[in-house]
Amino acid sequence: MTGKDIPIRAGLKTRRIDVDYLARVEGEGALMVDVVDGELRDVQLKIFEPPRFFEAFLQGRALTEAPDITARICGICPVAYMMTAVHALEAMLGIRPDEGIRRLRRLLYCGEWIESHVLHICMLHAPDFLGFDDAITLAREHPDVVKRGLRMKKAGNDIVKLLGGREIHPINVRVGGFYKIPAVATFIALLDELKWARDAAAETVFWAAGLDIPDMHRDYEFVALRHDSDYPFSEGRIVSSRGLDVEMAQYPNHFAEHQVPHSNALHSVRKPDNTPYFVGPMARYNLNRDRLSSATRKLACEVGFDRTVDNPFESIVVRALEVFQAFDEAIGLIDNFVVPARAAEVVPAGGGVGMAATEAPRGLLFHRYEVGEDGLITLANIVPPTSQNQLTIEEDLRDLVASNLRLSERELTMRCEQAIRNYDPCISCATHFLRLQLRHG
Amino acid sequence: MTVGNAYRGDDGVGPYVFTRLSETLPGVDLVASDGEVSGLIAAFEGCDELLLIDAVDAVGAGLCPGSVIWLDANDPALADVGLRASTHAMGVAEAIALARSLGSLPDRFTVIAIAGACFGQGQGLSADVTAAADRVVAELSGRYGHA
Repeated sequence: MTGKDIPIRAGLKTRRIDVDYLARVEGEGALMVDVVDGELRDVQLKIFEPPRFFEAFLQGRALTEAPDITARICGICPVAYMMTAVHALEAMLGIRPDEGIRRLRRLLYCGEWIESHVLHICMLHAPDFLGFDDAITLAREHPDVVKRGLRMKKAGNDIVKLLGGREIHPINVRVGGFYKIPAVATFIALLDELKWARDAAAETVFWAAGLDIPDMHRDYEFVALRHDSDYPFSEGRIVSSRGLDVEMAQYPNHFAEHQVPHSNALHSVRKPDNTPYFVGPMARYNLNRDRLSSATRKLACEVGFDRTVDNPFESIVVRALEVFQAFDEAIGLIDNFVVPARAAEVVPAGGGVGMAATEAPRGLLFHRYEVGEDGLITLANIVPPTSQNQLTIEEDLRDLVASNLRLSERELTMRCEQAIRNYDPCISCATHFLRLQLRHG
Repeated sequence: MTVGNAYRGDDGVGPYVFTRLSETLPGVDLVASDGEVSGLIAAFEGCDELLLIDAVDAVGAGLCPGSVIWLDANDPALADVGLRASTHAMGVAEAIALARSLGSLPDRFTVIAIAGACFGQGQGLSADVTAAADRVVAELSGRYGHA
């Protein structure tokens, strides 16, 4: 970070802060804030990581290749990408895997949420709340927090490795089910560690709720999936805190993507008024608290979170509650294991249009595919959660900067970075990182 | 412990050494890692002595391809490795730095870095790296073969 005073015209000067790399986010980007005569003029979340062209790679490939190709979009949430492709294509082809497969898919999601959320809570976001530059310096003063996080993350890794074939970029997922179902005993072997991890997750919830959390409240439109009975992973309807309640396939009718000059990631808005909306753990939590397990609801009550959460800095607690939920559900799924009738359903020939939305760790992820009768993909559209949150992040930063101009450059810059990390943005997914430039006039 | 990806050219030197040592050192605990940080740190726990074999980018390190560097992970000169900007890029250096902060580095911990030149898609090591890996295998087999 550098700071300097630059005269721009007689009587006025510009103060500029450049952060070459906003650390502890996924991918590469920058933030620029313009303040002129003491008033906030503009906030731009600039994503300069080059476009990655995954949608173009998919054109001309067999529909059965989509899960493995889309998994490569992200090393943190590959399961969400591959599973959204799977659900979209299965919807198109009319494939309905049995309850055993459905439950294993939920288990795989549990693993990925744990891996991703714990990494963010303990390694990326916690240093902001405790005043450290990074997880390494945090670990010197709070080794127990980091050790607990690493062990919980490994428990999530172990789920994904068992069911997906490896921790990163799983290889065992296919349209119709899995290539191979591991032996039941291998799942049961995970149980002791998962039970330790569920207790550790509860400790993490209490720890997170005890952090010094900045106060900020905004009137968001939260958007998430909602399922008839379960906390949402990959089934249900798209709902919002302002009354939206539609089938997944209706997504394009209610959300649009816009290109903006300062970002290589598209900005998503709500139709028809081009308004920002909020996806991710807080949206899921606010729209689905009644779908949490009784143990998670009890824990939420104990830390005062049996309420709508509209302070984005409290997302660290919500994420921790989702980690507990994921361990709790994973244990339940293994305790009551349902062996699938077959590893995978037969994939019939044919094409058409397939759409699906699932809940990636960072929020709603939408895929749409057009497939020819030869089974080759002719068109693909992928809308990642970070793209959908970009406008909301910029709006948060506008409010935050406008109400905190009294802070020093350093304090304000740190607060802005912390606010961006509330969303655990994955810029690599969205194009796909962050340099902060704060300019005062 | 070997680290690497057999499908990314010379980054496969770790897996290559793992396969070779499995044959020559049947009585030694061998672990193959893809470099994921929590897995690496978990593997460091409880070790009295650890040798970690990984590829290093020759150009970035200013080395000739096939060079082999033996590093003491407990050397304070290696202490201040900051986390890279993105967790997508966290690896061995970050795991060692984090384990050092946590006080969980093995007392005797040597990193054997083999300089590679080609880290693109595809299997197979370059000739210089294969020769270097064979030298490392011979050295370790001689040292620990009768342990």
